[in-house]
Amino acid sequence: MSEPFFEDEALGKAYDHRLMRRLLGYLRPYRWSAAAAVFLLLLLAILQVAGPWVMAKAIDGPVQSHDIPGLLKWILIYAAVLAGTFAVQYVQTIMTQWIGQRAMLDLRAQVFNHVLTMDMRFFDRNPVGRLLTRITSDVNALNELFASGVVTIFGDVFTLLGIIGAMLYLNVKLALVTFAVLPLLVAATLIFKKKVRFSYREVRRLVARMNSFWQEHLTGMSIVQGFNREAATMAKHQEENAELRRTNLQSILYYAVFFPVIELIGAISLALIVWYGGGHVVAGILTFGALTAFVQYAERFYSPIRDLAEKYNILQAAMASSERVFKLLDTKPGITIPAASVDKGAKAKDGEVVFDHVWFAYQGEDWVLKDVSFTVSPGETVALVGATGAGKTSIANLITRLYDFQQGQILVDGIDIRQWDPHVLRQRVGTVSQDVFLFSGSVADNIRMGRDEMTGETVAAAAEKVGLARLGRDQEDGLARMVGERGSGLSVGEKQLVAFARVVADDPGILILDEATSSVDHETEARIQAALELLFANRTNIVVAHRLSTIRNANRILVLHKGRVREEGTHDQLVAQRGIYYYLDSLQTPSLEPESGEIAPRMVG
Amino acid sequence: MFKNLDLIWPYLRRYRAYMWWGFGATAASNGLSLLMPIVLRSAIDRISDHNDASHLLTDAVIIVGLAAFAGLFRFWMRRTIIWASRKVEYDLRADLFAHILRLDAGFFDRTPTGDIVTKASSDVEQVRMMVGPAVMQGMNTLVTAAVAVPMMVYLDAHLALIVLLPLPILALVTHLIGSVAHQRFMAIQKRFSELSASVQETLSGIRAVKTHVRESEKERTFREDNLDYFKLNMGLINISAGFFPFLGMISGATILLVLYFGGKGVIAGEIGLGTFVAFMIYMGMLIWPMIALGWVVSLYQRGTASLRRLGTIFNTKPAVNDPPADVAKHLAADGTLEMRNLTFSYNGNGHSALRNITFSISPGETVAIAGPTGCGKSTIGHLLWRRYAVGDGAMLLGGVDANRVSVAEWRSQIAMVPQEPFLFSETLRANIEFSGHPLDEGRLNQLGEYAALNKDVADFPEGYDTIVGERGITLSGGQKQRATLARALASPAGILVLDDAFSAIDAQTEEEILGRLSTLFGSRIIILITHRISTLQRADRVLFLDEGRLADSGTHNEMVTRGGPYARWVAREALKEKLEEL
Repeated sequence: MSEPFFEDEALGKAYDHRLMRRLLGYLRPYRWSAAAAVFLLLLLAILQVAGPWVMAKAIDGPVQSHDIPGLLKWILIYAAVLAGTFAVQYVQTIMTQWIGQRAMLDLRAQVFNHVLTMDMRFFDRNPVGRLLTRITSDVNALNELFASGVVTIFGDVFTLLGIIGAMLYLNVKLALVTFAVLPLLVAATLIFKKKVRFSYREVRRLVARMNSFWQEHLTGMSIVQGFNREAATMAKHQEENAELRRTNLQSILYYAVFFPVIELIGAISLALIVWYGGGHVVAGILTFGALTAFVQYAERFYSPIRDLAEKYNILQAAMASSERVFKLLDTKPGITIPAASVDKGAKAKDGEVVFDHVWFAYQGEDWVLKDVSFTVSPGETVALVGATGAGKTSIANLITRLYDFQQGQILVDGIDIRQWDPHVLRQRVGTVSQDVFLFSGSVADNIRMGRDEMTGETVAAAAEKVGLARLGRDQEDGLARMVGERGSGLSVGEKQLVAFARVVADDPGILILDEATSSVDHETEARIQAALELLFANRTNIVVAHRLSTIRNANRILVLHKGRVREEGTHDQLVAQRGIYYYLDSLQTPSLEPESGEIAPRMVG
Repeated sequence: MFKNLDLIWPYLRRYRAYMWWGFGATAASNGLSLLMPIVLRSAIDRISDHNDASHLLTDAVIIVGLAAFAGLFRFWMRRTIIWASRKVEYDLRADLFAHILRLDAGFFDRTPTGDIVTKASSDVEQVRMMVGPAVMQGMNTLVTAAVAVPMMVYLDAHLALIVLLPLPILALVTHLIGSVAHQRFMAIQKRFSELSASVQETLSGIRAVKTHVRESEKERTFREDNLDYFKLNMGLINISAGFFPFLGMISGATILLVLYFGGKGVIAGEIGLGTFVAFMIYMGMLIWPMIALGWVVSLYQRGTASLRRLGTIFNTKPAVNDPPADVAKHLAADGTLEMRNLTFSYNGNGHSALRNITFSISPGETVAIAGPTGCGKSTIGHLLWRRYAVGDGAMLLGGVDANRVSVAEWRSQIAMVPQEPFLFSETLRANIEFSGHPLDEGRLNQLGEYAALNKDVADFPEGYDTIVGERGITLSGGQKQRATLARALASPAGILVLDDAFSAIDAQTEEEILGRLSTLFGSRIIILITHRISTLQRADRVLFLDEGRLADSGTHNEMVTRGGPYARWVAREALKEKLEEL
């Protein structure tokens, strides 16, 4: 049951060759754009080096030779460099981000589509929230990795090399003297990053703990208050709160030390340039402009070095998320389309459903169905009856192959359902589930269920047939009425009728109907009764039945009890047997409100 | 009661000493940093005008010295202001939690847990950003501008005026782009939640998707949503990608102005090369604080919005309160529990969950409360626990009205086993000791015996010290129920309430547990909210509720013999139980 690879918090190594290769695969369609972005980064590095250079030229030339028109020329060149930097940086950023977003779009669609192919056991095991995280946030890792990671590494390296090159070109000795602070800078950055990374992780862990503390104690608030434990709970909260504060204060210390240290290193390099470079200027070895350029280059050292140090964290987080995403993508669905699915001509017994010694458990050996055998002949209507947990709904689940059973055989149209393409099977076998799930959208959308080929007339006719059109409280809205999330805004009865309309529009040869247990008002009940008759005509029906009328109208009743078919026959036969069915039948006699006509007679769900 | 900022003043006042020290450190640090260009200026002037390199080493040492002291103060700036902001965050979160601990169940019914957790984490963080980094950067900008601008005016008023002009644009642009970007970001967040909601809907309805073979349609709508989300993201990228390049260009332009006008000044011999370079450096020093100013404004806006959201919680008054001290009374031991004409509805004037309920239970009695789903039997449990305020009518213990007793004193008389067994993710022992009465080993085992828990615990890896729940082992429903029973038994309260607390426990075990309880409890009151017939038979008396009214009461046998609603209901329940046994 537990799948360690779905752990959310585990952080692994920062670089994994195999993962990286796979991730970069998503960039393949955009490789030319990526190449262009890298080229622009090269251009950008050149432009960034050019700025101080132009300024040096201006100072050494026109400023010192008192040439105002000459100064203007250099000003214009400098302005052009600025404008160029702006344009290149802007286009480059958009391009890089575009590629990241595109790749993310692709990956997200791939994960979503993959999840849709998984079987129900998978969905039982993996809560919706977890899958949601994979599809939405974990996929962002790709963007992080690309847009803020891989490409910008190029940019930082180019800029750093450009600055170093320019300084060496201007004056080798002064450049080497200035570089003397580089080891200091790198060491300070690395030490800081290491400390901060640790405390950042610590803070994240504590913040997650704090959130789960709140979550847990808000959920259990009635217990806390009921047992007068407010003070004790507050004390526990303050322990967590204090630890978070302590860790946060600790990390302030790192920042408080780091930034001044970096500034001090900057001042040292400036002092070196003034002292050593100033001497050179006086000695006539170095021009004055070159000196100012040095000062500016030294200032620009820091940001690429800091950026490079940052990449480690980004890579690490991206690797962890992508690993989770890929694990999901590598999980194979339990129910797949068979290589050689049956063709239509082979279907000898159209409309027949056979269960042959079927054993089924959702988990391990907890058998929900034990050795179940029965045959439903074409055109027959069979009612499945039994108490909660008897296994009725599981039978419905197996026929549509939402789950695979462990032993025995199930035949639809005379063919083993494992030889059917599940999609074709589900088109052949229509379903109305107990808790009708409606998607947000209009009533018509919910009848059409995305089949664009279905005309408005077909939808309207289906709605008309089941009596849905007359039910709408607001007649004007009718089929265009909007349904909220999970069908909110519609009554239970109305939802049932929408599901019936789906079946009418689909017209499947075999219908599995899981009747709703909740009560509906008198009028709706009458409509449902009428619709049911129409629904059952001209097809094979298997009904998990709660309504007395449905049960009585069935050709045959199967009584399921604790996973086995215990009784079988018509209503009268079964009542006469005085067995399980007899009890079930007695139960549905309303005992509390004998006068109540509002609640339809039904069997216990 | 609170306007946006009113909420935060007391916290800032508490740490005002830190704030003043921080302000002082900011001023000192910037003052020292801003002396550096002056040193540089004299060094350069000596080089260019006099070709004099003799003072260079001294100048270099002074530059490093200034930076060292400035750095020391900068350390203190962060150490005080950010430090204070973390303390404010700590206090604010503590006060929020303390306030929430006092709120009644109505608040928790209305407010999703996720919302409260978000307020505690991200809104508190936004407020911290406002009192910490925003204040620090704000002070920094203020001090830098206050020192650098006069300095530049002193060096050359005319040049200063020209080159300083574009600077406010930086603050403005940062703020404007920041606002637009924030709006677009919020739009993306909204679209992201919609996308998540739609995926969530598909995954929750996966059974419907599969049985109706709608996978391809869902793929299509997802593709459209996904593309839409992509486009919104690009919309943000289109402006945010320009942000830093644009700032770079504007700050470059200011340097350009220095270069042109300063260069002209040097050529005309009006200013020295040193002044020119000093200007250049001052400009460089002003650029970041100006950009930060725009950021500070955005942080302030977000911080006040978060304060407003936090204010809605702080302004929620608890509905269940202690009485004023002068009218407060105390409970005597072993009192009679009464409800008199009690009518209650969850949402004010809506549907009444309880109507005109009157009953009285004497010490030593075991009373069952029964009835069909939705009859109001659990509501009685909630009111006994004072999760909601008693409205019409009265609830009394030993003749003392619940509203005249402190909430804690009243609750100390009620030991509840709620319908939904909830355990904290701690050791089993800590959960059983939750009522605050430490148990020695013998007592713990005794309670475990009463609650039929010991056999299960023997199989746990660390016995009673095994951690349960989210961070530990998962208990079965029955184990949880028995553990919550043990927790209630550990409390010396005079009234034990079991709200359908045996639903996951078989009837025989329930019988055994109840048998032991009646010997344990003696003069105390046991209230059993149940629909199990064996339990109903065991009770001294049954109160039968239907649609919020007391429909019948008496002993089980009496009422069954008498016929009527209870008898009919019992017949139905008996059939259900019978069926289970087949």
